[in-house]
Amino acid sequence: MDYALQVKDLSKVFGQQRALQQVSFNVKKGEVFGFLGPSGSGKTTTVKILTGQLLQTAGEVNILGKPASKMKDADLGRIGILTDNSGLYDRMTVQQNLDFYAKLYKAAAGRVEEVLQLVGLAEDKKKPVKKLSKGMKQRVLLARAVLHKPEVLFLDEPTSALDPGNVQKMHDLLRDLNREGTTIFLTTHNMEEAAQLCDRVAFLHEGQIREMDAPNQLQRKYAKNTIHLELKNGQNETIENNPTGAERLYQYMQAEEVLAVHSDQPTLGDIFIEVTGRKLA
Amino acid sequence: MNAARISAMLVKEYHDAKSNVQVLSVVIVPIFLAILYSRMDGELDFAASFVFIMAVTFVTMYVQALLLAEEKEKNTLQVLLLSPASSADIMVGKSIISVILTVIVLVVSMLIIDVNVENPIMLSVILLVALILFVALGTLVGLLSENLVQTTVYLLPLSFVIGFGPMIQMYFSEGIVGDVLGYTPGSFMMEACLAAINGEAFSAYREDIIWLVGWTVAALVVTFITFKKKSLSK
Ligand SMILES: Nc1ncnc2c1ncn2[C@@H]1O[C@H](COP(=O)(O)OP(=O)(O)O)[C@@H](O)[C@H]1O
Ligand SMILES: [Mg+2]
Repeated sequence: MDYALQVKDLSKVFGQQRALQQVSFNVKKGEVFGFLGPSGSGKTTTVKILTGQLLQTAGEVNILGKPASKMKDADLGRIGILTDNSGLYDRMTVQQNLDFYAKLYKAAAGRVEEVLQLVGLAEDKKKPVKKLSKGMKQRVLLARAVLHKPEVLFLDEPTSALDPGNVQKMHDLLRDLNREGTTIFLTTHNMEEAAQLCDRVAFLHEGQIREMDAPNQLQRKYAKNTIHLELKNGQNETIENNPTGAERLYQYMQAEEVLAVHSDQPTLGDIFIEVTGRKLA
Repeated sequence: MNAARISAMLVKEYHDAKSNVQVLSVVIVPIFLAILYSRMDGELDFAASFVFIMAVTFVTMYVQALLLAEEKEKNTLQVLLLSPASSADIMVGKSIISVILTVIVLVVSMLIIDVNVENPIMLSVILLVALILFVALGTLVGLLSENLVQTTVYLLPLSFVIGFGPMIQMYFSEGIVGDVLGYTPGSFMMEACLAAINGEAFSAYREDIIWLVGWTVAALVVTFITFKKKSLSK
């Protein structure tokens, strides 16, 4: 199997604080992997270690087959990073910023115009970065991270500053990029986003992975064995998914009482609470 | 090193610096002094040497330190370090811009002061060594400061001692203050520049040049070690 990321027994200690404990996961090439956890659970620390910005206390971390701490300049050209500590040159315009990074990364000609369109900033390209709103800056940062069509893209809470319309645009962009082969490692505390974008998710809680699978697999695994009935008389009833429940449903249907039948499928957010006993965000 | 990336750095620094008020204001200092001196009837060799020292402390060292510290403060340095550009590309690109600015300031000041230089080749060599020294010092200050305010805190005493040291030394030529100031790079640069302008025999200022080169080597070594320690290298 060809892996973009391989993490085995990763631990990180800051002084007394154990930020990550025995974290293990693999991300296949071409996968969109979601790292979900509340604030302080260790998401950013993981991204920093994966991108060689921070050294782990213990464990093995490989990116594109090489230890993350041994990445050379040429290897850095194969990855893209968007984190909360990414900056821009705020006296320069959007276009001047992107032109600069395009040259550093030797991105294809015309790529700056292309990504400006993709993130919806073509109209604003002549504006100095300091005049942009937080959401627009976030989109410039995303544009920069994807300029060179990286093989692996790291996104640390990329949509936290965006309004819903732009979140949608950004998801489209990420899907297109993924279709062209980019592996995406995404951290978020937005469960809906993860359910929409990710092939697989890991739940991080207090520096440990508590659960990891495809969103629909998790929904199956944590499915409740109940069904909701909405009746014509305005009442609701929850029945079990068993012969007794079937009998009840049969009776209501015989009496032509049933208005609607709802499954009781948990959302990723519900599952997270069940697994960790803690709410996200 | 990669020429395309260094030139990208240069274009970026140019776009960024042309609207940087702090950079523009330090560039004015030596030129203003040059204009002032050209209107007074003092000794031109001294005026020119003093303006040269002002140029390397206020333009080379300040600009280098400010640009680097700002990249740290605004989190753009981290982005550069995570790019395929090498540390050498980044640092050389940054240094070239402060050197270019200084050279412009030096040429303009020379034209304004209009001093007759007896040994222009030697003067160029001295200025080149000084440029390297002050690029290193500026880089060091930039590396040690976490933000722009801190840069100013380091730079003020440093530029005062180095820049005005030779002036102060004239008034305290006796005693410990004068002795100590006599060993600062500004003092050696002053002596060497004066001698080159007046076309003195090399033996007269050989020692000053040796000291200046010594300072430069020391500054380069300390800056390089700090660079490694701050894990900015990759
Ligand atoms: N440089 C650091 N020094 C000390 N503690 C840190 C440092 N970085 C992160 N931590 C701690 O590690 C834990 C995980 O932090 P982080 O990875 O930033 O979480 P997240 O990104 O999920 O919000 C937190 O408890 C945080 O306080
Ligand atoms: Mg974080």
